[in-house]
Amino acid sequence: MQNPREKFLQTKVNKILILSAVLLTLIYFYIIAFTFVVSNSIVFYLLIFGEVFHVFQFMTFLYTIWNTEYMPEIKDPNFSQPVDVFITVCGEPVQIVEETIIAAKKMDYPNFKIFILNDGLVASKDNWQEIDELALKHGVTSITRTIPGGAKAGNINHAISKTSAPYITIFDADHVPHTDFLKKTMLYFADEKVAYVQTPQFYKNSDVNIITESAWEQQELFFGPICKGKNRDNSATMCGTNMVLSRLALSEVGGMWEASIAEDLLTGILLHERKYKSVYVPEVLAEGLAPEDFLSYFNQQFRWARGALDVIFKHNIIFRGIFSRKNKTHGLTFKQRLQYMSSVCFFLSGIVVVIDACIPLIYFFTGAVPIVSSTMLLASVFLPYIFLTLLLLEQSTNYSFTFSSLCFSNSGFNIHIKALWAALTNKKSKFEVTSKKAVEGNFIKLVIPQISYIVLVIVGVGYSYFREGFTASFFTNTAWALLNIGIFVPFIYAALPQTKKTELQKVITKVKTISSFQSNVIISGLLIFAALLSKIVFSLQSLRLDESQSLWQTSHSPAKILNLIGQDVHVPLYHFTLYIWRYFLGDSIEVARLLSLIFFLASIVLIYFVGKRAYNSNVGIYASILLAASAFMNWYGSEIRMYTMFVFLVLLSQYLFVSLWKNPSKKVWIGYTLISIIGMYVHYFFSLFIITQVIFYFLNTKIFPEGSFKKFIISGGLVALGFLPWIYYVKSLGSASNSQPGLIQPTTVDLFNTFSQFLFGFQTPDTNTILVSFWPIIVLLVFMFLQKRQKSSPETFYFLLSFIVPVAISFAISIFYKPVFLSRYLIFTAPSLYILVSWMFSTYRPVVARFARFGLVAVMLFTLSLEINNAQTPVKENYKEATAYIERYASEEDVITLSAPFIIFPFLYYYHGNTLITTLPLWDRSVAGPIPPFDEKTLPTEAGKIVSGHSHLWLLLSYDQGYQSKIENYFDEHYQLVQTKSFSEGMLLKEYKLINN
Amino acid sequence: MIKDISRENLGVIFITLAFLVAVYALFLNSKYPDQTRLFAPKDALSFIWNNYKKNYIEVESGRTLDRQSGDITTSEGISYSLLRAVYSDDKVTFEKTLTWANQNLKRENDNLFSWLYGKKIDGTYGIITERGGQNTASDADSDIALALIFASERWGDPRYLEQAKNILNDMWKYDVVQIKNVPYLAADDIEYLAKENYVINVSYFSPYAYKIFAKVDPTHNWNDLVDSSYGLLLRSTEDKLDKESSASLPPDWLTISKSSGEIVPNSNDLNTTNTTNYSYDALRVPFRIALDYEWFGDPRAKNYLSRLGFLGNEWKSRKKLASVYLHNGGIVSEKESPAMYAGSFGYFWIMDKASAKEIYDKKIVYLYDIDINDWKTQLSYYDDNWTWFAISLYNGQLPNLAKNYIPYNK
Repeated sequence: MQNPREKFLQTKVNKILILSAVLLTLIYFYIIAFTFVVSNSIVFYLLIFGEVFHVFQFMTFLYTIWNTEYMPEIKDPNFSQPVDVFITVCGEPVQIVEETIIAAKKMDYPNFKIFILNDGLVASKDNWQEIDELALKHGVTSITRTIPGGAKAGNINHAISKTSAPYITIFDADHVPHTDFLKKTMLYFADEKVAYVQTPQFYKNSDVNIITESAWEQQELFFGPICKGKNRDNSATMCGTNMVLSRLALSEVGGMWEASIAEDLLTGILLHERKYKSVYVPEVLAEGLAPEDFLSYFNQQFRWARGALDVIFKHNIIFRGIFSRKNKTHGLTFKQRLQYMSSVCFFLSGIVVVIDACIPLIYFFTGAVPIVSSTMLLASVFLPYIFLTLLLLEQSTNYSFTFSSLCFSNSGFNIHIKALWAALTNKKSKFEVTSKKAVEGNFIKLVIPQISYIVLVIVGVGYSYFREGFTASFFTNTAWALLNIGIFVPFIYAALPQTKKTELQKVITKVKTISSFQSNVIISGLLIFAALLSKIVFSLQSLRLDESQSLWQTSHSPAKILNLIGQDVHVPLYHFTLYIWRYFLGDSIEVARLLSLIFFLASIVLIYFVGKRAYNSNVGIYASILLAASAFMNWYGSEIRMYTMFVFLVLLSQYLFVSLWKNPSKKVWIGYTLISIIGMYVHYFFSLFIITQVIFYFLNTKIFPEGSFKKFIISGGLVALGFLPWIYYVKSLGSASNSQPGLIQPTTVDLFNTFSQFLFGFQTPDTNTILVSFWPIIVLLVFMFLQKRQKSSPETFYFLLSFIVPVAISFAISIFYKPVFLSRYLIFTAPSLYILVSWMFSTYRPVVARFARFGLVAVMLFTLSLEINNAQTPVKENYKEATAYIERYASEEDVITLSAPFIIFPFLYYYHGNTLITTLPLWDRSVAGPIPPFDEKTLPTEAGKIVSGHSHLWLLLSYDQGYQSKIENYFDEHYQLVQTKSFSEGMLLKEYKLINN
Repeated sequence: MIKDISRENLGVIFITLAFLVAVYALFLNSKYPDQTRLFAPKDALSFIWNNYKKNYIEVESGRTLDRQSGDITTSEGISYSLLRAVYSDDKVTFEKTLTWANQNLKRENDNLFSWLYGKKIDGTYGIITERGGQNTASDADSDIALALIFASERWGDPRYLEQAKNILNDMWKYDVVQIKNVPYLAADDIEYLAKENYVINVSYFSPYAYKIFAKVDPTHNWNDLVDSSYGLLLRSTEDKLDKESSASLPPDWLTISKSSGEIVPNSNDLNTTNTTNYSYDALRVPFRIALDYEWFGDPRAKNYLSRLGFLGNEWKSRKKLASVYLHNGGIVSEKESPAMYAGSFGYFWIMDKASAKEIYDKKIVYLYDIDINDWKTQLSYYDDNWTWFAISLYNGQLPNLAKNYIPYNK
């Protein structure tokens, strides 16, 4: 672990990332504000108000962190004018003050005097005399006020009048300076325009409990990237402690501003107004104490909020003089105004939190929603936007930003609102020194608003359910409410009586990794589970169109298989394997499905090793569980197609690719190259996977050992060389067979359905709507994953890329070129998702992690059983029963018509009757070439040919290619419909009596 | 070089090689390599039929040609085309073929068909009277009638039934002979005028068809014809005929006494082309009898087929059938013929399903190439027809299409 005193100050941010965030934010805002149909305009404008605020906050944040490395030049490194060190005391425990005094005395600086600014007497603290004695004991001067006024600022101003050094350092009683404090700060004063130098307000007790922890984590974001960025605009925020001031500058603004409880902030602004300079030194040079109890935290936050809001509402100091001509000599610059505005605005965010939290409540109780949305467009822009935001927060704080600081920042809305109310009514707020000693007790009354919210949500969920039942809006709003609750819960928890962390707990508990025996047992169990499921469920299902084509294709000779596949949209390795497989083991459907099952089972084992190699065995085993429990994977685990083989090879490549930087060797390179060549022959989309790896390599060249570039070039060359013959062959064949269903352009709904399918399998549109409507929960899951950590590992970045890039590329190709987007083609990205989810869960607190793991698998198993048991599951193609029904009831005098024509393959596989089989459009398969396109004009002629001489027509419709309803209508109009029967989703049988005959 | 390869690598290479060898060995030992795997037999049947039409039926005229015999047309060829067309639900071809036959083969004075058409000696096309082409062939008459009944059933066209009835009526006038009030199906329409013996071709006997005819044409005693057919079949098979013993095979040709109905072993009507061999003609006997068992479950059919154990032994011991056997079981020609397998397949289909599957796999469907959707090499007119019938039988594609007359209840 890095030293917490340094970690948060390493704030290097990728500028491309910032620009992308700007772009994405604008797109997001544009889409939400202008592209949706407004439903309820009041709610809509509330939402937009909140979003404008968020966008402003985020944009100024991005502006601030754009460059965080600016430091003013040091004119005289030996600058060492006399300094008066003020330690402000107002009733703090003696030992705390003593520690500060001792440390201050040890400061390495030629020329300073220490003063204890004892306000204990005027604040009627019991220990004021003890403090005076303490000063005496350590030989420092105690300045004890006898006339109150101005709180801390008054105390300081009083001391200023009694002292004389040109520079003043201020430490709160608990802030223990490092010996080099003065050395590292004073040198900036060689520039006489510098009025103050501020250093971070580090909390050394951040590991005491959730309150100190969250308080410090909030500080990290502020004192890390934000303060560092502000340096650039000469707008370092004055924080009242751990700082050095120029007496001259201070006297020019009349000392510390006593009229506000945010005396520091205001005084800083006044100095900036007078064109003074400020410097923020990004180095921990003093260490203080965070509030250890909820009440103190609450009060501290309130004081800051009140002070900040006074800046706008009471003193209007940010905007004053904005149109003044004297701006050049007096007044804030535009950038300074912007910086102060953005800082102060943080304390208005409570209002926006309340607005956002109320939107689901408004829905629950009135049904009003801001926008009408039937697509997943909102989610498709919101999720990348929020993830990029989080990534930037993480990167800018060097991965110090956490879920609890996020919770504390968002949940304290009542503090902000209370402060706003006080500021607007100009109510007096007492300056209360933040307690340095934990006040014990239950502060539940401070979080009553948050608790009320939860109660309202529960009531609201029930109410809206009885009003309109399970609708997409119901689920989405419930999910949003849950997200808010998830953010409030840690805050509420913090308000409960806190137990101090024991020393043992403080030691970062290393989560025990699972033993190899345990993982063997679990994996064996998973294999048995998957194999049994295949045996008793999936392998017994009706043959599907794609499968029938696999069987049909592999019934040919190898040369012909090559020819057929070349004209199809696939590559031949799977078909060759299946061909040989069927040679040895027979022709039944079950046998053919067994081949896919074997690759599926092998993948369950392999993903464990990938997860283990990339992270640890815990991540591996849970990824393995996810893969085995996935209804999606189980489906393709028993489908006579190349998909599980594809998954297996991709996992193999993942394993080797991760090894290329973790544990490279010649063998790994050879294996990697070989698998890449083989993979290219399993599915064309393997190329998307290779592209992802290339992208990853170029973004992370540093992690690869030297010479990797050359090896990648050689490997890539070999892969290209290995694949060239196939490309040449396909080119030489020329025509495409067109015996496949046509694809349609995907929508954002398809995008989300793909993700949903990876986890929850194939569901009816209704169930799917429920599942994807819960998308805001993803945000909560990702929020919860924000923990203090080492810089995110390249492995995570890699799996993220290998999940997102292929999906994004194929989606883009489908939109801009031609449709290729099919969830099954993207099946190879699913393992990356499993690994990522598994890893994300492994970073949660153990209790939360257990809950999350169990919960997800429970939902997955539930949806798996839905997929199995629901006859309307969309991917089920029940040709078996449809054919059996026709075989039983159709006579030789009848005629069967199949549409779309290619369903003749599964039909022929099952049909052993003697009725004539035709297709619409008519397809003479003895003539080479594609299926003739549907033509409405020739439909009557073709239908006439079909019905001629027959007494009944059995019209089996499946795989609607866009003309199904036209065919249906034609026959409905011209002949007498006898019966209609549905065998599975999208498969319809209609029997007509052909009266005209 | 060898030194560069570590032991471990060597191991990997050996394991890979061993695996490949194992795969290759398994591949060679697999029971599949010499067999065509039909994805859908119905598909194959329809492709073969389409190719047959291209090869053997003139598009414009609708005439079926025996390309291997100087492009002649026989009434038998017509009957096969009609049967296959009606089974394939191919009304267009059926109609064309029938029209051609009615215009060119149908005899002027009755409803039966002349058996031979083609290029005559004078170079013109017509009935080849110099080879007795104006005579009937009773199997064709009966098969055409059956096809017409099927067509009327399938397509609901009464014209077909009408013509079938006319044919059946005239068959009793010219194709059927009576001995002691027992009707027998003669080989053609000139037998009933014969002085001493009747020429019989037992492979023309179609008891399954007569059972249907009996319903369509109640005026004639078709069931007696069934009985006589079975009786004569058994006798001709068991009888040593012109040989010293019988291997229990049906003969291609046979003569019986006009007066007694007894077999006449050494009649002048038999010659070098019309022999008592089990070959080109008689191979149809097991098939037709199997069909009777398949459609009607007649116990006589199974009983008869059980006598043909010679074929089972031949297959089991030699894994092949010759194209020509003497009545005593001697082999005339070792050459194999698709039609021999296809026809004899009837025996195996009813008596020995395992061998039937073997023959189907290795000798019948093996001829088909799914890559090109056609025979590996083109089959003769006769082979094509009988192989098609055999594949149909094997795959349940040869049902009784006249179920309205006799409910199909097997």
